[in-house]
Amino acid sequence: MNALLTPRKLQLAFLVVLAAAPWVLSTFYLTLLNYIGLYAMVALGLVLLTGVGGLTSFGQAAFVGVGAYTTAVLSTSSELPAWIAWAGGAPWISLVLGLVLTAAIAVVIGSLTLKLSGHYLPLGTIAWGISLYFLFGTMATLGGHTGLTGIPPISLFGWTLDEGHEIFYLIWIFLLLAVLTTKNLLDSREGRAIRALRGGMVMAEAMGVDTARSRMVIFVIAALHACASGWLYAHMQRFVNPTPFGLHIGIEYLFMAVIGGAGHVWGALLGAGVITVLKQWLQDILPRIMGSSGNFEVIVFGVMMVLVLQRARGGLWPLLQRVVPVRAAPREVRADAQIGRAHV
Amino acid sequence: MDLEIALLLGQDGLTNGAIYALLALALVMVFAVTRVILIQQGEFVAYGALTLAMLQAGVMPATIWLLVALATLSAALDITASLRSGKNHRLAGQIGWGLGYPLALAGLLALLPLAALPVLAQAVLALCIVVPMGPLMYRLVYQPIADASVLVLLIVSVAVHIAMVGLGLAFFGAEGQRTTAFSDFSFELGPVMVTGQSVWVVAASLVLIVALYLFFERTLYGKALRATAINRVGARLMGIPPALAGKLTFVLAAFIGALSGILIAPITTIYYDTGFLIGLKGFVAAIIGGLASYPLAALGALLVGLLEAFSSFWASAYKEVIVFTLIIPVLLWRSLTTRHVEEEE
Repeated sequence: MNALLTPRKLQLAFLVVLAAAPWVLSTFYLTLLNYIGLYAMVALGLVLLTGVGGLTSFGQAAFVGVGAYTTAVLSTSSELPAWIAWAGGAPWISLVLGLVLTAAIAVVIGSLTLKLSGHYLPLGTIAWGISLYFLFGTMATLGGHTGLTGIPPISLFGWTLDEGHEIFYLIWIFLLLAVLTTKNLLDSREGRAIRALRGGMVMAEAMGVDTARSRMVIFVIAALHACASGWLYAHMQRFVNPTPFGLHIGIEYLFMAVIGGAGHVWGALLGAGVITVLKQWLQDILPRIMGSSGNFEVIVFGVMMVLVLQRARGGLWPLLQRVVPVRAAPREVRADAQIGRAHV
Repeated sequence: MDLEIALLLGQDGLTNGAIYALLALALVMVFAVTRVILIQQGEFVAYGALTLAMLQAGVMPATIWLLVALATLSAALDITASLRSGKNHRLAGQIGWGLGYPLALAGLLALLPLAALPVLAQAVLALCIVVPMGPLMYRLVYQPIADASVLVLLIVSVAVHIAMVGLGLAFFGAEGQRTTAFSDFSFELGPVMVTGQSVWVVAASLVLIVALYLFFERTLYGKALRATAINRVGARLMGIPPALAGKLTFVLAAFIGALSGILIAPITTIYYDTGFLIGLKGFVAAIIGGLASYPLAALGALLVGLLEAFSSFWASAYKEVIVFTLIIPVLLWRSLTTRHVEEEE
């Protein structure tokens, strides 16, 4: 391998560029990077679910909504009922509560659909995504379609993160931690069981994998990623309304994962970046071409998805890997290593 | 609530339920034959209804250009395939049908006084435009990946749905449309006024269901589709081409979708994105039938229609939430009663 371009050096360079970004980029591009970070976190969950586990969900945006609305209600409402009043106004507590709530919802949806064949989970999540969107829009305590305003910024050790470049670091630290933990999970014993899911249930079960449990684990993890992204979103935007949590955004998250490369952890970042930038660009030029305003970028996304799934089902990341040595060298298994400790 | 309101809501529920039943049957059929979960079924509803609305407004429907574009693409693919495999005798037919039909239809539309035609003729024209999109969609989108897993096919369907909604906005604009009713006729049944259009809807659904039954039971093509649904490989060994089966089911699905749109367009205002919610309610019904049973799916559709009508009376803001959460007890019941072994893909 070319000594100048090792994966480790590339990762280091990526981190340096990332850390320097707020100092060089304009506010517009920084905001774009913030969004990419938030979207990538959701897409990462979908990589685990779709690319690795062979399941999928169209309702991830609704989980983002659970995270965002939990913290929005807890930190803005002045008349919380007594049993929950202790959590009011403290973003970090509402993060924990949002995660617990999300996990509970995911377990319920999962236990309803995961025992059935693979396509019931996506169909169930479509119904769940739509219902929750309508619920956000109609419930008066959640602000209806106008939403909730005045969400306070997050503070960390007395430092208030109310500027774009301050929350930038928090978002990307969250994301990189998520990437790191996901990679570690997939390298573990549990992860090998998860990776076996896609090859077929019977095979995995014959090897002693509790497939129902493994499917549940990744569905819950994917939901938790989405919830954390929603929490960050609410405190970055300082305002929530139902629009970013609708079914079509849920579908967009899936597009990010598939286009980036659903089988690769870094594909989530790539997909989120490509889709976000492309969307920005298309929203700029398409209305001028079509002569009226509207979400015409979805036509391009739809056609692009069909082509990607027909021609390059692995997404863009494997194509990138051919050009740049971004893949870590496979861990070597020594023939004389003890069986229990050998890595696969 | 008194009897009169209950009957009125019941009429509403039955009318909608009949439409959901048609859609649910199409969904079950497409899934059984091709393993495609047809998320974009609802878009055929919207395209059918809005194409009819454009015809009634005397405008050349923009969907015809989509048909021309799809047909050109598909003909180009077919022609290159024929040239490569040396089957030159197929070329004439491919060019003739692939390009001749849409262009002839476009010419016909340009010549006819669209707004002055009788409603039934307009409806037939709308069907002539929208229905061929079904098999073309199968040819362009699904045929190259016919062997992919259900999951990949589902994601592709969602992508097609998204693209069709965007195109719908471009073609029809953001305003909703309502078309002229097939008949002004109405009669009183006890205390309730029954409108001619809901009679049309229910009657057309019943006729279509019987026709589908006869098609599947009595005709060779129907039997070929059933064979494919039961065992894809076996059907192929018996000489049923999978591509033909796929295209045929998509013809039926597009026909059912577009016809449903044409039937309900005089009753409800249709927007470019209305089809999705209508299609999804068909889905809830199809899931009640386990994506496999036709009678259960039809019953489920009536249940969905009635539930929707009555919940719009008691809790109209939560109408959609109630209908879609109906799927949860259904899934619970299915997951408790079925012991499923995942098919290897």
